[in-house]
Amino acid sequence: MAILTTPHTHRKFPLFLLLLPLLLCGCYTDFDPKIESSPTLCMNSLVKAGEPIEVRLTRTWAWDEGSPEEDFDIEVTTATVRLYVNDRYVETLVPADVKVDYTSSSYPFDEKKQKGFATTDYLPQPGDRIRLVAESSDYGSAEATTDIPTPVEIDRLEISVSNFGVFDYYDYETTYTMDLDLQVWFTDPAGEGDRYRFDAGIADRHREIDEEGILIPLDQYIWSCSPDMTKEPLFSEHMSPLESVISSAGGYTIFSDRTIDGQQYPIHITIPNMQYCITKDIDALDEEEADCLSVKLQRISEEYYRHVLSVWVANDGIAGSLGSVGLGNLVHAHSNVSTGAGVVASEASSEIKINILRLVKENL
Amino acid sequence: MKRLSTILITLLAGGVLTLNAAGITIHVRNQSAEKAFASIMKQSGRNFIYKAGLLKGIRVTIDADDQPLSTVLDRMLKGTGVTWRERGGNILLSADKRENKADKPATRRATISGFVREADSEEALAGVTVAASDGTRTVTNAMGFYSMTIPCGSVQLAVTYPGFEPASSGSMLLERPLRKDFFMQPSPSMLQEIEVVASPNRTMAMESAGIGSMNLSRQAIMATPVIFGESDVIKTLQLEPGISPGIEGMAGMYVHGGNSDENLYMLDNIPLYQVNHLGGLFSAFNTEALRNVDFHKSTFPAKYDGRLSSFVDINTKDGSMEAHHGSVRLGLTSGAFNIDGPIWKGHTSYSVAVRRSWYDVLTIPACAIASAAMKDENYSTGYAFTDVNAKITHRFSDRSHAFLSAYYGEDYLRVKQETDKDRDYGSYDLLGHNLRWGNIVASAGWNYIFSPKIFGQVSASYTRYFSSLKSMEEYGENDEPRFTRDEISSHNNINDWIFKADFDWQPHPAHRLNFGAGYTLHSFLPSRSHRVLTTESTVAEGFDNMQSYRAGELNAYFGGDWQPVAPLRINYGAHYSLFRITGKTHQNISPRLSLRWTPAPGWAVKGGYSRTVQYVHQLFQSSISLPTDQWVPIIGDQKPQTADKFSVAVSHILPSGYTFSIEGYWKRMRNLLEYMDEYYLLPPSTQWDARLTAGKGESKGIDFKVSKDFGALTGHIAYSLLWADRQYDGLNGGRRFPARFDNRHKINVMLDWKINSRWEVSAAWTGMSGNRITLPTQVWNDPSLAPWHYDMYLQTDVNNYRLPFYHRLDLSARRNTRRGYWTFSLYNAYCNMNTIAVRLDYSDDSRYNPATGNYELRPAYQKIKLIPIIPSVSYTWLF
Repeated sequence: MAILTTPHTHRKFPLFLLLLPLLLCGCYTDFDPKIESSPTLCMNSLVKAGEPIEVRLTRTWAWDEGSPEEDFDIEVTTATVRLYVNDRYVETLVPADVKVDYTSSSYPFDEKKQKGFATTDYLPQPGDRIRLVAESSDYGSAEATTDIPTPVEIDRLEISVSNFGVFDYYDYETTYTMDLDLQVWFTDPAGEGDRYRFDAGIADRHREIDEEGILIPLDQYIWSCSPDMTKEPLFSEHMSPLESVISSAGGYTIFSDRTIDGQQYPIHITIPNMQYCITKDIDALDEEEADCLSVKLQRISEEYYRHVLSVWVANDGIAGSLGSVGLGNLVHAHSNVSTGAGVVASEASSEIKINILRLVKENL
Repeated sequence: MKRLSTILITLLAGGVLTLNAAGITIHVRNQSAEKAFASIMKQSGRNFIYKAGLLKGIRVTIDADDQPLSTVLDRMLKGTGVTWRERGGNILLSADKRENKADKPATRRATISGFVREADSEEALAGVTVAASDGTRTVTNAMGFYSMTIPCGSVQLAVTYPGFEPASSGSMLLERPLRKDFFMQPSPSMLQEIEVVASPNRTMAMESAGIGSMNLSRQAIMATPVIFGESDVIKTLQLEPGISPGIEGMAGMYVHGGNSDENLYMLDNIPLYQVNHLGGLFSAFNTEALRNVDFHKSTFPAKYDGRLSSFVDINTKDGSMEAHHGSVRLGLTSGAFNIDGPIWKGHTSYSVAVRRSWYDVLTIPACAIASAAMKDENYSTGYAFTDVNAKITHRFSDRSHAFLSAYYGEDYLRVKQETDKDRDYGSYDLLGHNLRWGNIVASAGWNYIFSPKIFGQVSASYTRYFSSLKSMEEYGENDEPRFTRDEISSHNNINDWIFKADFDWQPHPAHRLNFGAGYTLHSFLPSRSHRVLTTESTVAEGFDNMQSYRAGELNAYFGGDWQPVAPLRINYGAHYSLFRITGKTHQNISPRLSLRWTPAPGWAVKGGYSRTVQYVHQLFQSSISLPTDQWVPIIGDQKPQTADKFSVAVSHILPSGYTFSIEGYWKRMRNLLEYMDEYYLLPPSTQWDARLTAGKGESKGIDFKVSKDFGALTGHIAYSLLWADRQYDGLNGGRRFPARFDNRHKINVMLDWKINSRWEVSAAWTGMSGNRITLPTQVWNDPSLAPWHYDMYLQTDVNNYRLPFYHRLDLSARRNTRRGYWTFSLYNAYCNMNTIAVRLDYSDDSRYNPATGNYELRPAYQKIKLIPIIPSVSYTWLF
């Protein structure tokens, strides 16, 4: 089974080291704050150009109410969701199983789905303004709008391989190890205001699953692939100098074009100690069945960027870090839904895939 | 225990004798009246009854041989303001109102003036009460100067100040303007119940029309128990009513529902911007360097403006004109060195005080050990704060003094890390951060006594606030020319050139004026940032918020203190300010008015109104002090922040030394500026002022305080009641919300007991309603767009939850030794770990879920409790 991890190197100089005497003996005790609140409607959707729109409706819950899916159900299925495109009603979404996690590179057959709503006819296009209106008899209505961006193509990909090694195990498996250095060139359109998300991971995995649900790899597969995206300065452009001391970009790969507006720029990432395993003679392997490394440049909508950035600020930024321990105001995750719960965002991607088997052969 | 009103002295038991039955023989020269009476009582056999304090400081001269008692008393008491009469065979002594009245011809008055100084060092003493025998009282100004115009004739001045032996002028004949300086001896241990005459705060409570003003001596600050034993002026002020301390342990000050940037801190009347170290754990004011502190929180002298909530004027030591003195203090967190003395004996003195923290001394060896242990990694980090106060004072003459002073305070944080740099293969990593922030002040001034009625000072000064944050990260290959370097820096600076002149003038015995003018040339660099991304083949460079601003600020003020009739005192004035920036001019007049009426002896009723204006403010990301908290001016469409405050107060003093005061206030603030909702989501290139929202605030409350300034046991009990809220268009949906430090009830008890000449112990108890926080009530489902999954909190009303009641006891003890003194302190002595925040987390107590058969974590609200009992010790060596 392959291992996919995203390095999360926190080279933090702990701010709280400065306040060490205060923190040495901190403690936590449970209590009931006795504050009244009622649930409201939450709407989440990531609209992708060229794919049906999926919407998930849930209700909010009180923190000490328990854990959703374990103690209670938060799905809202008895609601209507209407779609407006460029301010014109298009259709009412129908109940469907929808994707939940937009960031995970899990196997397609392992993808988790939940109850939600989806379009039946309409396929969104770049430049469309999408407005979703949900109404629930129990939790009221919610509304949100997103503008679908146009994709920005990857100009070229430069790969540098170093520390290439070959290891044979028990005559039935060979592992190829290498350090990859990638420069992903793209050209930002002139005019500020473009926002991006970058991603790199395994794509086109070829696996079988047996009766017990155990994944059986085929005769070639990526065993280890851990892209290190901490070196690219664009991914930490939202950090102040003080935050660069006490925090890190922490795997967040969103960025804006404020320093590269209208320029061609290489995103620089590394994949140290990538491992590719084969169980057959390498010349007998089919390149079409090889695992690929996918490099994606997603142009994302403003609310997508703002939401992810707010999550970073809330958990890793100065304001959020101090707010969470009572030394500042609490930072909330950004929502563009009228109820304050949920995000309706959009993206348009361009992608390049690297056939790892071919790469191995080139370096033999 | 001190008797409250009357001292009965009985020296002889015996029958009632007639006044002329036996002659009195007495020969004394400039002897205390009490000693002279002891001799007369022995000879006459009479009881003498008089109020405490009546004879204090009175010295008499008389030569009498076998004279009748009545003759001796008449001669001896002439001109002293004391009269006598016989009742029931006893001699009753009392203040001679007839004589005082008789000595008050409107045309025969003269001014007596001078300086009050510490005897050994000749350091000026500010806030000293000078009381004339006719009942006129005044207090010395920051330079130790006093002036009063009183009826001609025989006068006597009594001078009192806590911590010093009372001084008296003796009987003087006042016929023309007279110069009289006093040199007060420190009282090493006030074990004896000394007579209550006055203290600066008692005098202000009764004599001044001002409300909410006080004077803090260095001794009072050093006696206040604080965290890590580091005496701190701001933490001493936190014990006063109406002042919320903010976050526990921090030197925060939120006066009457205001913000922390609404306090103007001045070092010898020069504004400081950066007023604390280490995130606010310590204030920037080294107690060793200061002389005393003037604090105003309700009605403000016309001289002060520029901040909305309070004014703290810290007067630094001049240095001894006679001998060199100094001290070295070694504490757990910092050390301090202080020395002062004459450069030219009797004419020129110097004073230098240096304080530095130890933290980097501890981290440097720790990092060296860690680096040695980690192959291919070199790591170093250090944090320190430093402050230096230096001052030179020169006396040209009795009337003409000049000074040069400087202050430098800085915090720095450096981090450096090298990973795999010295190898000839593979990749390497370099990381460096350099953060510096602080304040520099330099000033020169000259003060001159133009006449006994006019005192003036002119000064020129420069103050610089700086915050410089630099960061560099580089990643590359050791054996290839491939690298990525990210360099980022940001700067926030203020440079002020300040020129000012201030004058005190007493044109009439019942009328004192102060007036002055000043000009400040500001230069602001609010938020410049610079970023360079460099690879082996590309360079991308970006600048944000490069714009700097120049501003001119003109100030002029006049104020008067007028006592038209004895019970009524009126303090009036106005402060005019003009602030010109980016071609826009703002003008404001801040009127000031306060009245005092004394309906009965020992009672004062006051009322006042003050307007204040603020053109420069600080933007806070949190409740602790960070170098990223920018000081910025108002620009564009922003309007000056203003506050209108109405106050009423009643004060009552008892001869036993107790002072009671109760004050009510209502304050309305306009054009307050604050970060708007989600300001952090705007791109860094956004102009800094676009992140702000304007709003208003209101606060009201009652402050009550009873204090005792004299005797071996001193202290106060204070209670505050406060309501404070805010409303901003761009925050909380425009809805009004309570201020973060809306501490509804606050109680402070402060006691200081001088047990004997070796030991002094102090205790301070604080109890208050908790701070307000924003507590999420609902959670929403993660849309899974970010790389990590978190619970999303539904935005709720700002500051919707009040933390539990806060209480803490701090203790300290000081033991004097031959060479210095030890200070022992216990912060949070009974270890009540107070709640500083609430987090949403999972309970440590897992529960069994019968459906799954597993023990599962349970979501719970959890109180975050931080500071336990913290002992500390320091030693100060005096030389």
